[in-house]
Amino acid sequence: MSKVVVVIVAVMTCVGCDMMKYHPYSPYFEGASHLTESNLKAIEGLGLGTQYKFAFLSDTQRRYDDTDDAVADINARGDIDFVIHGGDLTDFGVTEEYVWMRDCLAALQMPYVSVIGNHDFLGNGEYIYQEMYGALNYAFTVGHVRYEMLNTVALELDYSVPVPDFGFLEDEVRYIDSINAISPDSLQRTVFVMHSRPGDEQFNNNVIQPFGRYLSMFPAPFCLNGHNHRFEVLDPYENGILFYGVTNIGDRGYYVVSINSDNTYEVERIDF
Amino acid sequence: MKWRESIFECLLLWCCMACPNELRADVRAESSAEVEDATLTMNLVSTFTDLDMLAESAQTRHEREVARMYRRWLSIIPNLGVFQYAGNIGAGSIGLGWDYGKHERWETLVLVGYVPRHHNQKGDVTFTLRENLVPWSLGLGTRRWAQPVTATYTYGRERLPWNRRAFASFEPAVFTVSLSTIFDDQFWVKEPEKYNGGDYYRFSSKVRLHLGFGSRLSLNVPREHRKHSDRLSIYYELSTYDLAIISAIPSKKITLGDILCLGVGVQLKFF
Repeated sequence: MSKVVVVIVAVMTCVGCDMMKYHPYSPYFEGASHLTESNLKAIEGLGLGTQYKFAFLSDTQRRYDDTDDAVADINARGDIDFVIHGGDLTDFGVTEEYVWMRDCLAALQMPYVSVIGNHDFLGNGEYIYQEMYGALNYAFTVGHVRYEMLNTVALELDYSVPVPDFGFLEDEVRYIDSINAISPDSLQRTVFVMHSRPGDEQFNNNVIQPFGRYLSMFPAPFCLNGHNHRFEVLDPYENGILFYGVTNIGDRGYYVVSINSDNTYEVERIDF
Repeated sequence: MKWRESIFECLLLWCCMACPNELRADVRAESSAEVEDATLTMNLVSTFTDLDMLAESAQTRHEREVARMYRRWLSIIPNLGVFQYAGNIGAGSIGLGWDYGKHERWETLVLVGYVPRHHNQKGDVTFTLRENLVPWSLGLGTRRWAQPVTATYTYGRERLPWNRRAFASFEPAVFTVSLSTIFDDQFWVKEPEKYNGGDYYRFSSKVRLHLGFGSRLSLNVPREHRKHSDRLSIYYELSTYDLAIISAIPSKKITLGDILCLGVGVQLKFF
């Protein structure tokens, strides 16, 4: 019996440790975690000025080959400073999907950040996302632009958690005001990144108008979203705040957003 | 062995109440006799499990019915125990099961597993229903062990199959199909109505279908050393599950090696 135990322990420790998986939804995974934090540091480390470009892609779930192609395409361009992922990294919220997609995106030669999508919430996906990437709502500054990364998939949380989080938006308005009070015009534009936009079934459509009012409190905002698997540019509040919807990666498209030093921007559709 | 004796004795007592007098006297004489433990058990079991005899000596319709009833209930006593490490059904899983069919090629097991907590996430309990097919069993070594005590019951009056008479046996292929579920409110069998009337994700996050293949090395415990089980097996299992297969099929990047999962375990055959 003791020999059997020795054999089993030997097998457990020596052979195929990474093949010994506990469960599809087990929170264990190998390799890099807390990527949002490390990638934000990397973006900060780039020392970008007021003129730069970033790529926005979304809905890469279960499209590993297409994602690889998109990553190669973005790398080959050579003019992209960082990448933003619009959510739905996974299709079923399974831990392995998170790992596979992370390993696809690791081939990017520039840092990337992401927001959570509705598929990423499935099962224990919400917790795995927080472990692998980080906070569901966060913000960062590059040059004169403030990026608001929002969780907008209210339906997955049964409206039990504030989504979108107005407390977070209120803090951000105050933060931008305080920064601009110290050095005027240091934050001249806001980019909102979200998975589902107002009007989608995942959005908390009870707060479409309050959300719109909050958006207009930010300096020169425009929005980037995924979820709908099609290219579209909408002005839902009819006040000039544009929502740029990107298609899924299976449709082989993404956006390249140029931020210019004169506080203009261009959103270019790329098909690869 | 004590617990099993107690169970048999308990069942025997019940049985006596429905037995004809001759048989009852016979059993009583044996029970009271100061005989060696193993012999006692063997006699009790063979007496009791020889239900054909019981049925034959039953004189009334009711007694025959009782004999039939005992035979049926006996067959649901699980005779397999299993512990498995990893294998996508929990970090550790324990279970009970039954083998049946010609040469006991089929096994049905139920397992309860645990997925440990980690960082921000709590642990989860899983439940697995598993069906094994063991098409071949190769005997290793030539020593012949005595019949196990339950041979009469298990094999009727036939001899033990040759792989059970050998010192050990090797089962090169064990095919496994499992359905596992996870006890957690966040998972659903059918997606809730809130998702477009239950027609959006179109899969079950709670129930996973696993397909596996493995091998098994079994030791037929010599009778004099037999304590809890008469066969002890170690096995490995390579398995994958529905969502992984769905992910891998359209992708060149995700290979079979990426979706395979290794599990190892110990299986006991109590009788």
